[in-house]
Amino acid sequence: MLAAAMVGMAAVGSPLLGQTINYTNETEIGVMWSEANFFSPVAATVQTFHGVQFGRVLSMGLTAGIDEYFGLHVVPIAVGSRAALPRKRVSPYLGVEVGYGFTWLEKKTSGEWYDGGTVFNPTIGLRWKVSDKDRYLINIGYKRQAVAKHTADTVWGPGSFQTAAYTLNRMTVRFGMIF
Amino acid sequence: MERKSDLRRLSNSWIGVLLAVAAVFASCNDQVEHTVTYKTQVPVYWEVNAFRSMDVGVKPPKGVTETGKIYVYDDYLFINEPQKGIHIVDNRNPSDPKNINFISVPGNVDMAVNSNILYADSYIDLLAFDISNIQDIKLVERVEDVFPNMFVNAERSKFMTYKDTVITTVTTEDGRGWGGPWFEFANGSGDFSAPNYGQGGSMARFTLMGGHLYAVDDHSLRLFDVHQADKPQFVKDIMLGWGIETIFPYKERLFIGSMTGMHIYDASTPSAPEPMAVYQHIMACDPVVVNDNYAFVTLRSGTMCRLGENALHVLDIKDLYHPKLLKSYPMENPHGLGIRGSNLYICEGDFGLKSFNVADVLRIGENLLEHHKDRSAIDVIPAPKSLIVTGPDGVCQYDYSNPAKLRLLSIIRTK
Repeated sequence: MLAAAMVGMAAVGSPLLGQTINYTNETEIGVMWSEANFFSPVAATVQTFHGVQFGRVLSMGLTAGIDEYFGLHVVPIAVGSRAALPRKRVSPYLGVEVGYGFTWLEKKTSGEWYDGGTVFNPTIGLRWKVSDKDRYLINIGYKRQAVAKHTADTVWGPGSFQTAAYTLNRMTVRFGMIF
Repeated sequence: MERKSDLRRLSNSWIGVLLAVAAVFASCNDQVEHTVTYKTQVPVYWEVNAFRSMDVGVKPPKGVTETGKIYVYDDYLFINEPQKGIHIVDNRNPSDPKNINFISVPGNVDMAVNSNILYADSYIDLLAFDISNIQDIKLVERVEDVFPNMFVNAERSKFMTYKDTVITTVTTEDGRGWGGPWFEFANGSGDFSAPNYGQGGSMARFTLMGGHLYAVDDHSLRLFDVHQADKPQFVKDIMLGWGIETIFPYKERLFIGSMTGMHIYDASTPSAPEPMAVYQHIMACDPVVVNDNYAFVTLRSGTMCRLGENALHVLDIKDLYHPKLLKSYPMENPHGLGIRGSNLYICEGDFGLKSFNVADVLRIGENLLEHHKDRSAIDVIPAPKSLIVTGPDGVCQYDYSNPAKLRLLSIIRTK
């Protein structure tokens, strides 16, 4: 809600506490890796962040994406924030997303279904300018996604019930653009 | 120039930071916590002396918490509360059944009534209660050690039963050596102990015929002479094989359902039933009912009978020595069944109750009269006044004077 309000405020470009606030966005694609894994060792991730930029340092907004774990699809929706150390061409920055990963894309049957779970994704990266318009970024981070698979009437007989509560701990590497 | 090299230095140092972070996160591990909940039976050991000192007898009426076998005698309905005892219900008006009292019988699963004497198993013993005055029921006889298959030692000082239990196990693992949890479960490996007690069920099944009480346990038929109703005498044991489940009497014949087939016994000499035939089928749970010419056998797959199919088999039994399979009809998950005239009622477990007209046994599939899906159904008795159906929700009674349209009269709900 707060982030949405900020986006709204940014749209009119109004000043806040003496700082200029503007709309900002990042769209990223990348891979996720886990040494000891369920589903697949390498997973794919895309996400887009939309928010407001407070001055040159801080931005806040909403992030939505799709994570393909090859065997499981998760739609993470999160509140995101970025804090940069502004330099002229290459700026280091820290980012974080905190939210919930939904399993809307998974088939649901009476015998098997998924529940989503919280997602936490801190990153550290670099942004750089190629020209006045083109800005790129690369980041490395850690993504913790909780998700649960439920199975009814398992091999343990009628009436049995099984839940596998996964915590997917992945290293993330993403490349992105700021439009 | 100087500014450019500053930038390069800066980016180089941050790339170093990124690589260091990557090195830390590269050893990330996925984790999973499995929680499995399932029903099984666990063994319970009893000292014979301790069990015989347990309280037996009439208690005030109480709510039904679980329904087991049911039995109809005169205007009374007997509902077994598995392992605990028997609820007695005044069923003069099936629309308004009244719970009269409860007989506490430890280890009870089955019952039968003969001339106002109620027979009930109590673990290893057979008890006889005089119910001629329903308000003043008395234990009149205890026949000891007649279900010896439960004993665990030669001195007969200890016996074992199984108790229904819900077990929850929790295990955690990470993705190392990952073969998939579902794969592991399917192979019964991992930290779970497989529910391997299921076949040890020791439920006796009772029926009365020709002055004798017949009780089947999982592998034998036990005979009691009950000509003197309040003094049941153990006569003998007839070995039947294994997986014996149900017994159905019909015109001096006993039809015994087992996991592998149906046994037919000639009981025209009640004290010495003689085998006539065995109809064998694939392994399945299978109650049986019969009329003059046909036997109706339901086969059910389930925890105890995993290989089974779900079907109704119709057998021609005009020649009792050579029963022949006439036709098989696919079913969903059939449990108990009952026949009255040309109408067959089949309890389909969670799939409800079905009624069929079976006048033409080769066209039963086309003659489904009704399918009541609103309640689970486990067993059925077509009683004189009502059709009595048990299930996990309780005991339902239907007016079945019009077989094509059952009318719900009452429900004794489980609490």
